[in-house]
Amino acid sequence: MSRILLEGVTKRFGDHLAVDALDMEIPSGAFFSLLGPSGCGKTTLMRLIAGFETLDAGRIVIGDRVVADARNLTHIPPAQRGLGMVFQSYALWPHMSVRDNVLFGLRTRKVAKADQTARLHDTLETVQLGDLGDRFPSELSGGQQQRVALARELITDPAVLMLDEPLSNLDAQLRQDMRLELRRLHARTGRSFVYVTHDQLEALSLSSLIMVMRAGKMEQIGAPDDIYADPQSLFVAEFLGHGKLNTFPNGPGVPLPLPGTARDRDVYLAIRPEDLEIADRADDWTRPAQVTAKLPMGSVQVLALSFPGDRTATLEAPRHTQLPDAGTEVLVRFSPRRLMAFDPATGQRLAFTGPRDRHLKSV
Amino acid sequence: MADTFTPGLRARRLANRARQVRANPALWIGAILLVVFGYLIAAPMLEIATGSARVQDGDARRAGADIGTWTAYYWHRLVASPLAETLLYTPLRNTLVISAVYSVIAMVMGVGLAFLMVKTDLPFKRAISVAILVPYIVPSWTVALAWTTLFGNDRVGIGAPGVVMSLTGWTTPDWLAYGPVPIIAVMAFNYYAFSYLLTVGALSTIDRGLEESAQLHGASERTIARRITLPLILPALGSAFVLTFAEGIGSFGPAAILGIPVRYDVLATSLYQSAAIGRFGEAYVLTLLLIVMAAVTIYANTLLIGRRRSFTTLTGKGGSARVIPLGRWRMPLLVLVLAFVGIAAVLPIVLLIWQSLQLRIGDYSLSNLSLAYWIGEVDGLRGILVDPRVQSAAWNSLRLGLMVAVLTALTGILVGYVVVNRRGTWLARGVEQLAFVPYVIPGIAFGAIYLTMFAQPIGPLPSLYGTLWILVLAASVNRLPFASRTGVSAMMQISPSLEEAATLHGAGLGTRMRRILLPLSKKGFLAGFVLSFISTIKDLSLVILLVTPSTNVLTALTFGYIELGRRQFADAISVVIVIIVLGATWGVQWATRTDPLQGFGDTRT
Repeated sequence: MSRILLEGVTKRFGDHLAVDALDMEIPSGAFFSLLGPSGCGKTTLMRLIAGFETLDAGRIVIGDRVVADARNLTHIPPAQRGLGMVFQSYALWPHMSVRDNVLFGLRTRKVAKADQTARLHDTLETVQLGDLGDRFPSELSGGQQQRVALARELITDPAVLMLDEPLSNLDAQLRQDMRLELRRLHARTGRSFVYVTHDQLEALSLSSLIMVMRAGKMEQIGAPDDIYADPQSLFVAEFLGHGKLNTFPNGPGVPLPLPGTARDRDVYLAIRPEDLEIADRADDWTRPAQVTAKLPMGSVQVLALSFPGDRTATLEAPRHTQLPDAGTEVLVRFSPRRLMAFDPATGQRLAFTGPRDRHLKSV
Repeated sequence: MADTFTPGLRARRLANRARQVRANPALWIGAILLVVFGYLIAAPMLEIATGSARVQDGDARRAGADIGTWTAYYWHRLVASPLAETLLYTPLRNTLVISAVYSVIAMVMGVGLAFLMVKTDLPFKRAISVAILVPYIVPSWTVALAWTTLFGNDRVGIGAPGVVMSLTGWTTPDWLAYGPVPIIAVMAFNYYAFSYLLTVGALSTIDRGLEESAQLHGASERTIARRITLPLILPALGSAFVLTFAEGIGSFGPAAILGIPVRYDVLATSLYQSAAIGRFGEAYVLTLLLIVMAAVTIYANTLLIGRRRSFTTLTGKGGSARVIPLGRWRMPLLVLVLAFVGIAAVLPIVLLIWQSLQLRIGDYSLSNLSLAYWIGEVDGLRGILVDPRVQSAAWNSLRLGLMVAVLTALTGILVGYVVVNRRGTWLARGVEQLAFVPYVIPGIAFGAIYLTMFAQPIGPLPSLYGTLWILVLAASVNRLPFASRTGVSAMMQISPSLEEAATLHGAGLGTRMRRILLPLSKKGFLAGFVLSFISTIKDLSLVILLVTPSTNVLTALTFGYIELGRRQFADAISVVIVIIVLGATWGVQWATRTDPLQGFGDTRT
């Protein structure tokens, strides 16, 4: 059992509230991602769990053990929490060889020599660094350094492995390889992974569970697909997705016949670029627009659209789709199944009846 | 808040708090440092400030009040009495004039050399760069000694004709033998290396693209130097000037050797003379004055450096600096630089050796050469290599140097650890700022403070006067600003995650220090160690008031010989000191392939 339970976890730095009364649970064996823009408190939260920071309020339970409790100032030292951590900078000790780096944890734990050798061998094999034990960190590539950092934590078989933006220092190709690698390691070790990132693509592709953070608070928690398809706030909707979210007040230019609760009030509408469609004929959910530019972007292509009343939007489609050229007048369809409505003041998702309104229950 | 009434919660909180503090070494190390620094730095400052306004031992009759009562006697005596002119104003004027003039000369020499060494294709740069720094390693008072050997005449000071007078028959004028001119010259020759190092540092960080784009726009080398390079390093130059000036204010050795014999006083020598005859009230006033003057100049420097930051963002890591071909000026400039280096680095040592070999001083004939002052006996005084007093002083110097080096290098690392780990807290600020305070206390003033402060037992400490410990403490605290700068910058280069990763694997403080922090800060540690050792071995101004016959060190012994008029002994010991400091510097340089001297420039900015 290595579930992690946070109750009212709060951390202040001076006047700045880095983590604000956060409650959540990370199930045992999860690949859990903390996702948010820089400065949202995700790294602080991870460091609180690891024990590098002390709580100002609340408590943290790992497994069955309270590792931190602000009420009676319990603070179990990091080394006794059964965690491993891969730092953003890897934190490889530059004056030690790969072998010494990886064996460090076993040596401080006074593991027998023979056992050390066997585990070193296994671990280096696991991260595919078999014969690089004698190298020094400065003699390795970025990807290899990353693997050493992983090996150093994996060798002690921690119940929870924390990773702080581990891929941010790698180039695009390597990042993709390492993503697969991390998935493989997670499956192989069966341990909980806690993964801090600001890259939504990483979070979506790796995790079993994502928590989106904003200004020290939980914005939304859920499976990657749910979070992407069903954002509970404008912030989450805008933060996830690779094209810029189309947003507009439901006013002149594109008034849409909104059903349900959203009908009689001011709402902010949003739809993802890939959810806009070119329609053949007009209906309640189509509006005329002009194509102002057509941008091929490799795997996809993007249309820049201009609606009456100076509203603009983008439409994204796979690269083989036939799309009209710049200057053409088109009909654009706002599929009600994909359209999202938000409260203009709070940014919270508003419900309107429709086939995809599973979230209605919670609103 | 009902929680607070849960039985045992308070005790539990307390126990957990204690555990947290123990698990956070930066916290308790910082607290210990704060207490120790408060005791060794803040308390003495307070002692001086109040001491200058209290009747001191033996002054009850003159001050017309009981010992220990508040009095304006000393301040009045120095500031407004008929004696004020001799006691304060003349030395003050002399100090300012000497510091200002010598700083300008040292700057011109240092900056000029730096330009030639970094920006031109001058030949033999490597060899020259080693020699250029020799005067900086050699104690300034030995250069002063060498000066009198060169320009002394038979009328003033020790009354022995120097080389020039003996060889040419021309009686050198008194102003050339003693007084302000030689003091300025000696100090300039000693400290030019400081502005040299700072300028080299500034020049080599200039992005060569900045100069090359000016070149593309058709600017001549002259224009580039004047319009691009110079403005970019100007803040560094300003900083170098201010720090050189501050160094001059408290400088003791040259003024003591070249000023005291002709009653040309600066503040540092006045302070020495007051303290040496036990007039501590006046010494305190002068100490305060020196500290305030140094503090003001250092403050001016931080203002300059503050502005300099905006420049460093403009300059990148330029790779290798752009080199200007000297063309037909190459050889003439080489000769000039070699002559300069010869005069600054080689000549003083040659002169000292020569004079130490003269049986009768001022007689430059070959028949007068003798090893009597080294291994023989003259007037009942044994040669320095066979004199037990010298041997004991040498042993003291070495012990002192090593103890101070170990103590300051360790303290420096600890200060760095606390400052970096507790960054932004009042603890870090307090430790860092207290550690910097000794920077504004000139050595001679420091000696005066510790002399009175530790002459009687305080708290748990017995009276330290007459033990080597008072020297160790004073010299360590005196070196602390440099050591903590080195420590902080060494620790800054170690990412906190390197230590955290070890913590995560259960490494305790000892293991982290031994296996992570010390190995990674080895270079800075070693540089700090060597610099402390050298500075302590060659220091005169700090130890001169603190030594006793049993705790004598080489420098103070030399000064004793000078005051006795036994120049050849003084010369011989000076040569030994020079050999020790040069040997230590180059030895470490060779053994570690690092350059500890770079630290001189680094630690002062």
